[in-house]
Amino acid sequence: MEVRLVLAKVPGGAVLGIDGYLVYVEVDVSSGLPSFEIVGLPDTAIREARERVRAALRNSGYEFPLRRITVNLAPAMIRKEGAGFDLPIAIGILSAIGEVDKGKVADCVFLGELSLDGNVRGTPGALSIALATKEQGFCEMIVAEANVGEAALVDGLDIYGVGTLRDVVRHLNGVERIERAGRTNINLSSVRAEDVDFADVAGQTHAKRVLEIAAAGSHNVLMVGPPGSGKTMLARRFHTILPPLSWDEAFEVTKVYSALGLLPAGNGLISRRPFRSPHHTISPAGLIGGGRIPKPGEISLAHRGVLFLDELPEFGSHALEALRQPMEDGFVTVARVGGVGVFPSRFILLGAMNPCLCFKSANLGGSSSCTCSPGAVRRYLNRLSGPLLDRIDLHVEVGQVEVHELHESKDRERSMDIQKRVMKARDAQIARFSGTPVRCNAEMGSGEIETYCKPTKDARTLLYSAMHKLGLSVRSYTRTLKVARTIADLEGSEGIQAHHVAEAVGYRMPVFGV
Amino acid sequence: MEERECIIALNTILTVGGERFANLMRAFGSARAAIGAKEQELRQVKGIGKETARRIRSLCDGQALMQEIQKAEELGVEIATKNDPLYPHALLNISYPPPALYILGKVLPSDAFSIAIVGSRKPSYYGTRVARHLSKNAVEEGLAVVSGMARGIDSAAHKGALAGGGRTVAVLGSGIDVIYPPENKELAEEIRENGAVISEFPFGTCPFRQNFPRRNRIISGLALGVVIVEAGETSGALITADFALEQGREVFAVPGEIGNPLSRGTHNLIKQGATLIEGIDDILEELGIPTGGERNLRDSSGEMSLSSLEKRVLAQLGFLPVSTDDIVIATGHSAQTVTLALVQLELKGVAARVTGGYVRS
Repeated sequence: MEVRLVLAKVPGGAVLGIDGYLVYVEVDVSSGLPSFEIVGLPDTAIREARERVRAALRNSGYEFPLRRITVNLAPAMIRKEGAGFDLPIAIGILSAIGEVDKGKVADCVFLGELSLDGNVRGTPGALSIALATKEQGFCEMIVAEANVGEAALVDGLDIYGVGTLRDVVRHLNGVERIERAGRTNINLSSVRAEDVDFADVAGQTHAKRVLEIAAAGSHNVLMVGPPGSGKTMLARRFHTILPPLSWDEAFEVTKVYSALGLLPAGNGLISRRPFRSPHHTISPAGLIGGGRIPKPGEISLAHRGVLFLDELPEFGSHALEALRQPMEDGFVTVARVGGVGVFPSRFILLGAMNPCLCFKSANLGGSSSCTCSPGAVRRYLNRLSGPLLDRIDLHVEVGQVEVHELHESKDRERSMDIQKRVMKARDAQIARFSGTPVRCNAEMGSGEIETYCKPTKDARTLLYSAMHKLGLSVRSYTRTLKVARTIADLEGSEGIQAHHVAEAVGYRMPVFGV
Repeated sequence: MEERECIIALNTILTVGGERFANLMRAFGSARAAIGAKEQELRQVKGIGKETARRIRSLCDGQALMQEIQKAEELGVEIATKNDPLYPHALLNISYPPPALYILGKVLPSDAFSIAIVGSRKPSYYGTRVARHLSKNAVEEGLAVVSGMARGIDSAAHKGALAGGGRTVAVLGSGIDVIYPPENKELAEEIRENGAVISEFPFGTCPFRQNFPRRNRIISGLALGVVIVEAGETSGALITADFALEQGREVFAVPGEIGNPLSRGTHNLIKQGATLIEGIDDILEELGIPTGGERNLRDSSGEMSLSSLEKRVLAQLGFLPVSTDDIVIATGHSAQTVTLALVQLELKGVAARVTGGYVRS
């Protein structure tokens, strides 16, 4: 009896952390007792592909071969996750039994989950896998319709969006070609957050000014104020005054969201700066990233955007301490058993906190209505470590807004107008730092401060006098200079004048607990 | 046991204060006789119950006394009984003076020229500032400052005296080895160097509520007069004022804002006849000490060259914190301009940033 050995090799892909890599799905159909095995360190979701593929093939009108089927996911030593291998496995079987032309299959990367009726579903990480596809020299990729938007962001790759398994087979056999998806293109500078605006916030001119400076220089901010004073409202509008994402930035952000399967339905590109506001019970791994196979955490989801930590002292000390290094480097390396992930983490930190624990005090450190003992207040404030506070350039007290202010009809400034000033200041910084890795004032190290923050004589005198009379520390000296640089940039001033420094001194860290 | 040792031993019983001690002396003639007396006899004395009598009886073995004296040597504490030369004379004039005092540091005879400065434990910025200022001026006049080392006004008074390079005495409501509030440990150390920390309570006594009125009578007893800086309607500082009147000391009150709860106590005192003071000179005058010229808390901003913007912003500031936003609304300037002006006022020393905003300084 003639024994027919058939082998098919179909390219597929998976995500490790946020980076994609290609996996070759090898399907061997041989004679023997009917069986269906998947090898190559599959996780449970991939192992269960057997049932989905079997049903999808049958319900799409193909015969499932009653022979010995072995599927290998190469390279075999990487542990693989996800349901994106359903489509390449199904295509591999079809090509092994001759339903699809083997030659057509080898030049195209397949990605998609199958439903039992043969429909193709989207999977996380399509963008990263599309990038890997291009890198490996492929020029075609077949994905679920839901993933077309993100995959089509990659230049020089032909993307075909498919709805059902039958569509794929008909396309490959040339019976009915699917049209190539157009490249996703969005004009990012026209993207606006229409739903919220700085003009919604009554009063709080002081805090608004501080946030404008923060946006202009990418400085971290700590807002202190009683509950209901509007800290959260201000924070939720902060991204509306930040400059729009550049194409590269949007790409970086989208990659993270794609890997976690968090992309909103639609065009596939994250076009607004992210705003992340994790609850204070978050674990260090949830914040920084973690898992057996590392996955990005909140700081990477806030990449190029805003990380808002409300009730800052309530966050676990391990979580807050873990923030320091990623804030410094702009990326975080998470090493676990299942691999090592390097995730981007360049965000602006907005912290908010109450002045004390009893919430009765309108002021930091307690007033006569506050029922906290001084020791309790000190312990509360001590939860913020010095090294973390060192990375916060701007401090602002947010007071209760009087009722009459809520109804004042005076024209409040719109986000768009503030954003224009912010963008002007950012342009000045980009020009100044061109040729260096620094992009904004907050990222300046001691060397850059030396070079670019030269206060005038008056400004220097004022700064020394502030150090002497107001007890400014050496650390707050450099912070003050950085903030003064941003204030000067907002004004369009080349040099740092005395009034820039004076205003910056006004945003220094208060003496806690007094 | 000698008589002096017997007094110290009796004083280790918390329930034997000045009054019961005096009763015991009247009944038995000496502390030694009181300790040697039978429980039945002790029960006859006014104010001595079963438990106290039992405790007095148990003093016979001298163990409590030994522990007390050993501890005093360890910590460098002097124990002065009523009959000792170290015992402050001013206290002998009050009714029921404490039988013994624990002293860290030294009480000098010159410390009899002193004023007590007391007030709220949660003062406003204004109260703290006045207490410091008055205290500093007082030591500059050669007066010592007595207070209770509590949070708020008391601590500010001690700090003012130390800042003025003068002498100050802290009277505790706990054992002398129990510093309360704990954040005042360093302050206590400084006071010890420049005066004395004293207590009538035996070692290890916790700061119980009921100790404080007893402590207050020593504060007023040690001083020529008592200054109340800020006191709510039920403040313990008012108890000190009552003792002062009882002991024939002067009572001075610093006025505050109408409507501020912290002014209620002091304003009530003024209504009842306490002397309203605006500065150290008012105190000196009342005590009959020659004054050294004008030294009241004054507005120093008039002599300074301020820009018109700075003047407008300063006009919004008072002794209670005003937020930047409130100044923005009141003056119509931008937040940026106001912040700038505030920092400049701060550098010129006429404004200060406190929690909740800015105040005059």
